[in-house]
Amino acid sequence: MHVRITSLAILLACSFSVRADVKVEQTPEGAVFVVDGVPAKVKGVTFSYKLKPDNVDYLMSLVTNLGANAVRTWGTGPESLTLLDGAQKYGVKVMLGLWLAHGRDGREGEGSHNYADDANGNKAQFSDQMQWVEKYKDHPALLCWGIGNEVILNIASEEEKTAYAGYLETVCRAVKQVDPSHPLVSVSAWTTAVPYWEKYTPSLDVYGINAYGPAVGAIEGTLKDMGVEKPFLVTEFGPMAEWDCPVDENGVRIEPSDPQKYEQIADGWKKWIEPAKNAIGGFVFNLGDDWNHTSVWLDMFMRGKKRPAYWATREAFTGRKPDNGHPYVFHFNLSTRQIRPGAWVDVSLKVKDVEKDPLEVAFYYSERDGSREESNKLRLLGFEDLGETAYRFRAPGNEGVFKIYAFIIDNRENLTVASTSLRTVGEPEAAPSAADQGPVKVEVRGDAQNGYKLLRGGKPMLINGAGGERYLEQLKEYGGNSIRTWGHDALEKLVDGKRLIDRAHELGIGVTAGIWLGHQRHGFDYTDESMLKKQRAMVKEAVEKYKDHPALLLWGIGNEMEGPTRPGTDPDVWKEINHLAGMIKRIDPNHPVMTVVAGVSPAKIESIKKYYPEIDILGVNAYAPAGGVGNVLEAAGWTKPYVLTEYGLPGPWEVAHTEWGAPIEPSSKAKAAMYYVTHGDNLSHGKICLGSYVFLWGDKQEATASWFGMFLPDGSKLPTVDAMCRAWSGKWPGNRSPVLQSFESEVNLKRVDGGKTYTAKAVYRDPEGDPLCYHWEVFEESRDRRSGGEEETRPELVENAILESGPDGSVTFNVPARSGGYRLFVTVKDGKGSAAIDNLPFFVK
Amino acid sequence: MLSARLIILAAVAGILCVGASYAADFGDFSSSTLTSKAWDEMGKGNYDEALVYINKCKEMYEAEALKQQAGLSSFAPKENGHDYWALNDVGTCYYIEGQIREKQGDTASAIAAYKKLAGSLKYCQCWDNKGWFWHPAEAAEGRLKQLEFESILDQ
Repeated sequence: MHVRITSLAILLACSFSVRADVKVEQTPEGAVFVVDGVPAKVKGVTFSYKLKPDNVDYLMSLVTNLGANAVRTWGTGPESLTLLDGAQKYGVKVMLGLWLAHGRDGREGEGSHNYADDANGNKAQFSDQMQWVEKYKDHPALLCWGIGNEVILNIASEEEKTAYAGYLETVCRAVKQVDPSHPLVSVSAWTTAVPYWEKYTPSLDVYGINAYGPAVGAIEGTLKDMGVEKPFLVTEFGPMAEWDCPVDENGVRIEPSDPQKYEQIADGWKKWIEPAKNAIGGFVFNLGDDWNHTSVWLDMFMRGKKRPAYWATREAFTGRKPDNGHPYVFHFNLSTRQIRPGAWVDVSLKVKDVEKDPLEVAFYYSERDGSREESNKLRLLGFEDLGETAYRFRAPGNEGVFKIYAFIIDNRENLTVASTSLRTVGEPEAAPSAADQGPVKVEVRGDAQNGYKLLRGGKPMLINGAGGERYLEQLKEYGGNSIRTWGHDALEKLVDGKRLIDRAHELGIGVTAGIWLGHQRHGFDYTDESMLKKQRAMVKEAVEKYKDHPALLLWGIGNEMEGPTRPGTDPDVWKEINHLAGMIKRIDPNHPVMTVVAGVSPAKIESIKKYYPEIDILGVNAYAPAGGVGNVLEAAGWTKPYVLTEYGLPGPWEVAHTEWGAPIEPSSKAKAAMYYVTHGDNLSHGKICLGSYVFLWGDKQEATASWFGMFLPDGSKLPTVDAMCRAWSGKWPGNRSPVLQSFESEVNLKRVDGGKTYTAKAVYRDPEGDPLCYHWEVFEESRDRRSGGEEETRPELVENAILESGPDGSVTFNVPARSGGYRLFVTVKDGKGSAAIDNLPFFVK
Repeated sequence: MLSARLIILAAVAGILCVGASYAADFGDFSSSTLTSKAWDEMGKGNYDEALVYINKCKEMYEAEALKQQAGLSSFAPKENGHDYWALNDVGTCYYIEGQIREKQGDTASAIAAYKKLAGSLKYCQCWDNKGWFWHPAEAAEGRLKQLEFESILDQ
């Protein structure tokens, strides 16, 4: 039988160009699907990735690497064609789900459809689902239809359950009429739906049973006891599910350890599914990549890192052991299981990697007593590595019950997770709110000759910071310790469901709180008393509001308010800021005051020294000359400390331009090097330099959509993030971004004829060897160019410009007929949260 | 006397070069002319042509440049900067060469040029028409760090 199944896979890969005919049959070896005459057991995985043309090859290769021959979805839509086509290309079959609404809110979060009395709703749903049957019934990758998932479980009354089962029969008959070539499966949570199917839904060919852990071994016997003769398919299978697990002292379900999960999948498949004669096979849950509580339990990937389910499924299907083993946790113990909110918790974590790979550790938590949405979220805990096996983290700042996770990552992309629980009760001990904890004193010590130090809570701190308001967990993970905002309103923005300043505090990130001051070029008049009075009141209110917050690091009053292109010598500006700084220091003696200027010049420095003596720290935004800011300051006689408050790569105003005036953007690879080198050059002025803030920990349109952003809008990190991780921590992140090797096109920097077809090729190398997906776009050259980093609108995408692109990074594209500047963009992703983006400018004559 | 000999040698070398694929015009064979022509050709994207002028400048004046460098322990003051003409022009040529090699994708040769400049000709200065000298060796050190990190990225 095994040989025949293998040959089926070959057949699937090579020969189907028309609809497959799939039947259910009983053979001496048990129940099977017979696909065009070839019997097959299903070795499948459920599939929850979002498929796009540029990642389908990568994801389907994952499926085949697992040794799987089928994938299962829960619903069907327009995007299913990509899945079906990709599956066909890789010899994989698809169980397409037809989603039927639940009768009440259940695990899937569906609404409350009433099958007993909502005839119109029943009809509409029927039409919706039948369109997909019509559309995909002839696709050669289709294996069977999965009609409804755990619907009976999620219906309250007997009347509605019965009505649903009858409705399901109606749907099944209609599907069979349209598509007699594919078996019909419906899916039950355990065997709860089976009695209804037996009575009201005779058209089902196969019973789908979702079951986890050892319960799977009891399916066949249970169905037999119920008098069922039809074959079954284990439509979801995995380690013991949460609802079956015992609770610990805090009432939290005890999650199986990673080795237990591995064993239950790898051995369970052989022990519970393969021997079951009436089982056609099964689908391991889940080939997906998410970042939440459920994902820890069941997904094969998390942020691109392999969970034990991946290797376990491969062993179940192929017999092959992991290429590289997961880190093994000997113990993960907390000093207490109940503590006051916000208090430090001591941790003993002993972990070892068989291959002695270097390991990284981080601690997360999820709420166990919040809403379903909230309790599924993973949040990073602020923690300290105390050496050997000792760590400590700060407990969540609110009362509640929490699952606490230790995440251990090796440098081979394996992620081990160990978990326990913690209850927080009582008054917060060190809550993130200002009122509860109070300020952490920050001061500047030293002098220009012997060097300055920034002390936070009495401890020296070198600012490894980033400008931005998002991706705080990544900042912490990669070695950053501070963020800078431009205005204090940003402190109230919600990040991971909490105020930015509170979330930063949880993560141990210090915040340089910007207070935005009026710019002369925007009409603010520093001689207008009424304007000044209003601004002073605003500053006072902001300082009083945040001065005692423990996350506060520095005040950043004003950003480039002297103007990016002005000499910066207007006494009115500096005198007023001097007034504000004095006021701030009287209200808040615990935090130094910094003011940020756009670049430095001797005249500007002289003016600040003369009119702004209250300043504690000078913040300097600089790009091309960023590495030499310290030299210029010293040469200009600046004797106070400085922080490089924005830096990265040369700005669009500082680079070579094309003949038609378009700035030539450095490559993604060159950018990474520029960020790294500038960081190091700046630190070489260690005597008066207190650190730096890289720009921009996020994404932004400025000249192009990719110039300054260190992330894509979807959160994928770019090579500049890797460079900063290396600069801050001395290490690369666990998964690196693709590295550009070459990017060539006959249109690059050229004037070309419009309406014609051209080619380009971009070659990237992924440091981990991950398969890469290429996405190409042509945009008009930006016409909305502003100064001082002001918001710009993104230029228009040229529709339908891309004619053909290949997995080797090649593209054929049409240039528009309309004369003007354009850019060809390539975005490359590794499918694991890392990416690179590059562009070439050209001009249509 | 030495200068005269150099000019004669340069003229002979220039004549010999005429038969090559690129008919270089070395002008008065002075180091400043050769360096200016190298800048110009690089700006036009004529990298091979620029390298002809660079090589000529190095061939004719590198020995003198090294002598001038040996006589310095810091950057010459602005008022004396032009006294170190050979050092300044040969050093600048190494910088231009590094830039060209980068554009040609020949990172190893770029690094070699920058290292030579940063190591042996570090007090070279290049006159900016805005009115000051800039320091090619410092720029070369910046490029070296950049290229070294890029090579780490490729590992």
